[in-house]
Amino acid sequence: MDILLQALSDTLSPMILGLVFGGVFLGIIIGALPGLSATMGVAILLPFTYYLSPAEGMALLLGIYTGGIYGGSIPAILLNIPGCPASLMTTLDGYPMSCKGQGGRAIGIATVSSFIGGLVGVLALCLLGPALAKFALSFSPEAYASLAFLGLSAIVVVVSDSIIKGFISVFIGLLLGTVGMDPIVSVQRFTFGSVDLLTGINYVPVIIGLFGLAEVFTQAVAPSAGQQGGAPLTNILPGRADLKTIFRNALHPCWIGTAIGALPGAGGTIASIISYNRAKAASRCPENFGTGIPEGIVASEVANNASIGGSLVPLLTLGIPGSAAAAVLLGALMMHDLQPGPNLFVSDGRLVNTIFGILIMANVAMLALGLLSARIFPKIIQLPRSALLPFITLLCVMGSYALNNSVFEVCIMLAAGIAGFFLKGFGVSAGPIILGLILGPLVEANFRAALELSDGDISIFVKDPLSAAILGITCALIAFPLVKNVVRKRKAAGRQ
Amino acid sequence: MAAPGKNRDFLLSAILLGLNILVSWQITRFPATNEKLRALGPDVFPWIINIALYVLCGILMLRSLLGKTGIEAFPSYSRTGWLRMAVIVLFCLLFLPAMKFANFLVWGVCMMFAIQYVLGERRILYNLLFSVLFPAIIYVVFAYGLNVELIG
Repeated sequence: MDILLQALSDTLSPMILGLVFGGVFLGIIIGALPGLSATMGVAILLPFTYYLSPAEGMALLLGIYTGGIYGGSIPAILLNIPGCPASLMTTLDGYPMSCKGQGGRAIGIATVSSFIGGLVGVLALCLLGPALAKFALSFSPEAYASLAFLGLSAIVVVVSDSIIKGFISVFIGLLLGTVGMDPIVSVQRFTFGSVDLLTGINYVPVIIGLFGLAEVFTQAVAPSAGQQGGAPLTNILPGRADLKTIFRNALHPCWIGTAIGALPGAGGTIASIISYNRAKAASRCPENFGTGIPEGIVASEVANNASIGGSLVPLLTLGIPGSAAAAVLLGALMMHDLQPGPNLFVSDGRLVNTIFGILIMANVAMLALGLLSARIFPKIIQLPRSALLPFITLLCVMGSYALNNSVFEVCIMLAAGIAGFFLKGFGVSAGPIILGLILGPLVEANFRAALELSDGDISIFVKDPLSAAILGITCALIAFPLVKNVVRKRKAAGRQ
Repeated sequence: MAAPGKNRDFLLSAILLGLNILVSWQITRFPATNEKLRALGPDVFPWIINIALYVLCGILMLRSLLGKTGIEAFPSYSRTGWLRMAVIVLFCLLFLPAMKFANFLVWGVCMMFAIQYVLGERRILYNLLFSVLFPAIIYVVFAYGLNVELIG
């Protein structure tokens, strides 16, 4: 009870509240700018949290994450361009509403729906988190290594278009994670005589490079056409009829978003697609979906915001991020010497409860700022790219430099940015690389600890029932899309 | 289908296989550990990753040669596009000498101005305004707010 009261007082402190509101506002702007994602926003501002306490840092980053996912719905509604992938389904009904002159109404519905989804996701996190963490405390090293591999495989299957390329990026990340002194026998690995590499590759500049600078390069080499001017928004506050529609249709998207968000590797995009399709299939008038009806916006926005709380369940309880943005949040916690996982609930219960409180406040801030500042959204999405890209470059360079006052980190960031740009061109996603880099030392430590316990017998990974079960799930997860692909090809061949 | 030389999956697998050979060579140079530690040695995990990458790159290359994947070529960008990217890279690299011989503000203003210019901002006054304003804000936040040393 004491911990809960302390966490409540932490959450309601002026500094935390200011950071939450500031973070949400920044997140909305970042999410509203097509091409800039919530993950990129969290990555660029990650170094700032180095100078804050863990709770203050999480307040800023979770505010940006929450605001960024919601902000993606703004250009989806006003321009038919999803600000982030999770808002893809919002375009289907949001933009037609905007074309009918109901852009303000659509934004209002999206804001309230996002608030409800976000809040339910947080409640699920509060309820599920402690129970799952208690269970995870009994994991053996081999089970934990298998679990980390499940997390890596899951993100490959979900994020990547090609499983082979996805695993290539995971293994690149794992390889980068081995750079530096070996933790057990103090042998230098891949350091090339550099003193800066002895402690390994710092993942923060890599994150900034892969998500921030690489995006700047992509937009600089092939700039998108200028955005159209938006009409002023009216009727933003949802009326009684719209509120009724929202509450009537929010139940299924809530559980779909939370459950899918909690799956390691899955995220808001898949949650919103499944939720939209379910709403359409269950509707009495499915033909109306896609013509500009509030039900479509509710299905998409509730689900993608509910997935935020869901994605933090595996992060906080198992130390396995549920999405690329959650991987960056994992980095933020580790920057403060905090290791997310079941032990976090025991050793830092106050911080965990503060995080729950921050998430609730972030959703309140999103509702307030979304409804109050909606009139400036058409102006935000018109910000000139020529000023924005150099500003982001400036932030990327300074963010990397400020970590250790070292130009070496800027070089790492630049290298990661160039590599990220080319990898994107080759169709390789950056998310699994980050996850591999962050989880690499954890996987290796548990892998070697398990081998040490079994005197080098690798069969320990299948002899331990929990580890065997997790590996079985991993195999099924990898095999499922492959089998589905074969079946689809056979069906297509049969039709011909 | 793009020719193997332009096929992006073929190119990717060829580049990664080349890099992977260098990684293998580096792993063989790790100092030897005693017999007892062999299974837990510092080279065990990198070898596993290295072999997995050989297998995956091999599969990717084979599939691209058989025409089963990678039908797209690497995206082609205009010369102006590459020039824009080169300017950004150049200014990031210039950050190193700038922090030694000049200071952050000089570098920041020049960087903002040049990148805005190559991105198509030809209104000099407007460009200058952002070029001075943004680095000044960043300078105040980092130097005074976060105590980061920014003077060369």
